[in-house]
Amino acid sequence: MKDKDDFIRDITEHLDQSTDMLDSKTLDKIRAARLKAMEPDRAGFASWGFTLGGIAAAAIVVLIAVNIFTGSGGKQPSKPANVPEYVSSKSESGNSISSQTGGEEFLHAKNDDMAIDPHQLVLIDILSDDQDLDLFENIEFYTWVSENENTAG
Amino acid sequence: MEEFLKSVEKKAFRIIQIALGGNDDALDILQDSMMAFVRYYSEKNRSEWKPLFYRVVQNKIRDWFRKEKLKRIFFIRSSGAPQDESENHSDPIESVRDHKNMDALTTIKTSQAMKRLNDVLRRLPQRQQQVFLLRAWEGLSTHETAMAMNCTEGTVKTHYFRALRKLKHELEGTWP
Repeated sequence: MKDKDDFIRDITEHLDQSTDMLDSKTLDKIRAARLKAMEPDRAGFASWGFTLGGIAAAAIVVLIAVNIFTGSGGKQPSKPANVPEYVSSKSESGNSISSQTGGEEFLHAKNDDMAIDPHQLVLIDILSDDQDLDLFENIEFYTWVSENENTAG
Repeated sequence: MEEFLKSVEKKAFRIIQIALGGNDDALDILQDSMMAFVRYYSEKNRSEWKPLFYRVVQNKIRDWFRKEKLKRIFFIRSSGAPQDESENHSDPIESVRDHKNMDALTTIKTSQAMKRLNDVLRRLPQRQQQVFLLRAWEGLSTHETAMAMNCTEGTVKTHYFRALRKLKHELEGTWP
């Protein structure tokens, strides 16, 4: 009868032989598994890269959406086609709406809630002008007179 | 780290293979274990690497058995017929190539002895089998085996004693 240690040694020797006799295909696969396991940093970096890229893209989309819906990006009232060029609905300074006549700024609206329609601006511009309102009502007549004066002269 | 993995990979593969029986799954589990070990335990003390590595291996083996159990339940329910387990597992002996230094008779004898040993080891209860392989073959101490198996040293001793008794009963006198 074999000693207990001899019996265990026989078993371990056979198990050792079984590892020595693994075929080359299996050994290649084991080696490939080890090499893949030794590259966790690269895999980790790639996954982090994808994660950060996704977060950045989502942040950009959110910023654009916030910019559009809060109107800080310049949601301006559309200017009607018949509004003269000298009436600007918004100055470069940001939230003030102004109308200029002869370079003089006369109206400020401090925020968008107080924004004034450009049509009203035109009317205010006309009413506040030094010239008489009759001039604008009879502008066609005055134009005809001036043309006749030129041709007569 | 790579040297350590190189030193344990073949034995770990065979330990997993004996537990599972399938070559491909054994390789998958080995790779998953290596990756998990490198990721989570590479900063640990080198003296703890071996028991910790085998602890990862044991956890992966346990996960595999859970998945197989679920698969089997699903398969039985969907097909109505249980699958023969012997069809699932290829014999690891088939993957063993002829050793160049052995003559034909020795090769046959060795192959037969290994097949017999494999069969007996596979018939052992899972924990007894793993404790025996880790203690007797991989050379882990009782404390290290307990760490690897996530149990007490007393349990390791019990499993080892029972595994050895069964192996002796099955093999002694007729093996190799």
